[in-house]
Amino acid sequence: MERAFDITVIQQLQDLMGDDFALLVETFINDSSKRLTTINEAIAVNDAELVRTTAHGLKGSALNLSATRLSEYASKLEAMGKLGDLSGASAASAELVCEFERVCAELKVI
Amino acid sequence: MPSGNGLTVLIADDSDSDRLLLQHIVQSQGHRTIVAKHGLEAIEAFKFTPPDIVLLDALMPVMDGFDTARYIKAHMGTSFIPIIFLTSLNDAESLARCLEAGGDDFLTKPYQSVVLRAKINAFTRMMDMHNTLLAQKEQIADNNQRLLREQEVAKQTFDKIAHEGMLHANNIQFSLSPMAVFNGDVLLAGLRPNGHLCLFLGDFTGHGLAAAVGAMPLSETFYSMIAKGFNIKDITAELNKKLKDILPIGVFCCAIAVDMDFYNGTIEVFNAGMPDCCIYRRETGEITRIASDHLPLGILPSGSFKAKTHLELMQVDDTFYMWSDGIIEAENEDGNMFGEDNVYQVFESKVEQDSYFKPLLLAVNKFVGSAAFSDDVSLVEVRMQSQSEFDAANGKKLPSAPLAAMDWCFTYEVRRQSLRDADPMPVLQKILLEVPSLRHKIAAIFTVITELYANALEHGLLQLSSEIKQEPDGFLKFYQLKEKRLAEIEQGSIRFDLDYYSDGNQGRLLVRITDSGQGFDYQSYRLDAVPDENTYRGRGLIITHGLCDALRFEGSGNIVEVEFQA
Repeated sequence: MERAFDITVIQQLQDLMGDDFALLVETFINDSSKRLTTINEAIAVNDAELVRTTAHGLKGSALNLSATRLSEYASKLEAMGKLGDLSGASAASAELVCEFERVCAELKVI
Repeated sequence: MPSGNGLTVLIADDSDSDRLLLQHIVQSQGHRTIVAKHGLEAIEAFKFTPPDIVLLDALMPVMDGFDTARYIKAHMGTSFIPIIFLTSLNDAESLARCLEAGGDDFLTKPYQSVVLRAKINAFTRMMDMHNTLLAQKEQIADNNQRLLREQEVAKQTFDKIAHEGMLHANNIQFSLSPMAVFNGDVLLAGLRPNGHLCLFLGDFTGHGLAAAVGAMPLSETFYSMIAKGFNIKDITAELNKKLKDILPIGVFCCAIAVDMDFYNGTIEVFNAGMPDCCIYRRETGEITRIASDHLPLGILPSGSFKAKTHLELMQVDDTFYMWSDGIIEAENEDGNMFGEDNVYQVFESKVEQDSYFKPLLLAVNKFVGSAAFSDDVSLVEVRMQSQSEFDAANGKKLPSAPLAAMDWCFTYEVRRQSLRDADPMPVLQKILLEVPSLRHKIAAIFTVITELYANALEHGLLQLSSEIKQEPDGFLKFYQLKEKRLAEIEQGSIRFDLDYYSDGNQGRLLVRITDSGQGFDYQSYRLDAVPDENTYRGRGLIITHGLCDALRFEGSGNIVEVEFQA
């Protein structure tokens, strides 16, 4: 399976952030965990707007770290939220969580 | 906000990792950062430290980027604070919303350092330009304010110097419509001590402040010379000299000066470069035009300038008109000029017998229509009146004289040639008018001096006997004989010695008139006698004696001295 990140982007981020790179990673993981929880809760109460905005935020943050697949899964959920149809949201959320775990695993070895 | 020292950048983003990343990118480019987690925090930060640039996430809790952008744009005053929206939105509608809320640009995720640097640089250039523009705008506004203030102050001084004088006399109508705060046309009117009304209409090249500068010394000279009794030949010669001295080359003043003698019903007119002026003769409807026969004032050196005037008789209620070329050159919408022919057509229409002032103005305004006047437009009418009508309507307004010397003497000798042609009275009047304390007696003093001078000339020098006047046709004979003897006179002189002293409260004027004739037997004269045929003897001395405080003869009777306490 291909990498969860673009390695050149990660290297650029390391150069830019220096010692704070670890902080960036930690912040991203905390941020995203909270967002995933929020998304699942929102799906449970059928709050499409909350799904949309939270997935939108996750999509942007994932892009900034070049986690392209994660961003794409978030984008899928954002679209569902926008349409107001959360019928496929639980399955999409499961994919998103799975990809997030892969991202976390890779981030820990960088 | 000098571009070399880095900018203050406000970052508002609810995503912690994105905010942290952006903060590092911005700082790595040498700028300071202020961070906010949502719109409300961003606005608090904006109020506390106004940033140079705002990076704003669109979707945030509490207050989103759109409302935040609107608030900042509404409260940034005259400064220019660019707002860059941070977004992973990519549909056209969302991007348009950002712009409508006041966004100036976008930065899309993933953030790219190079792109952000380029954007910040571009906005820095725009801010520099904005600030330069702002500074220049402020300077222009300041300069304009100052200019208007200065013009107002100058106008106050100008109005004091170029005051209206006698322009509100009952027999004058005038219209001056200036192109700017200052008028390039100047109209002055004053009374000479002899009661003549003098008017001056000048049209300087150009208009506004540049033209008004020349009007100040002109007005001052005119009013001061009028008050001292100078005639319009002397005044226009002096004005020409003054303007020649002070005006730059190419700036000059077209002028008409008139002197109206209500007592004799005459008008003396001087025209230098102005359009023809004219007298409207009420009884016959005739027009007498007086054309310019001089170059405008301020061109010829004083040596080559010789003032010539035209003397015309006017009946009571005849009117005199003068105007500046603004009337003749007034253009209508088609670019045609009003012209002199149209002016005279108004007179020929004979609709208004009494005054053509209003019909003339109406005709010009009707012709010009909705087009704008391109030059100062002036029109003046003066009506001939009887002396008593003028005095009754306008009162005797003797101009105030400057402070004069308090202890002086003056000798003035009139010799053969001058006895024939010149009148010594204006010179003496001029001197005596300089003495304020003599003013209330000036009429009596002039009468006495005039009488004693006539005596000295006719009886003392020319040996004419006033008994001739008693004969039938005596007066005519007397004056014919006077002319004859004056022409034949070979030598002789009459000397005036004026002596004035004042302690500040009480003054005394001595006038001593010495003629080179043989004198007469003044011992047998009784000045306090009741005038009858024997004592009168033509010398008018009884009346004279009553007008002064003392009168005595000396020498062989060829010297007479009178005294005035004043």
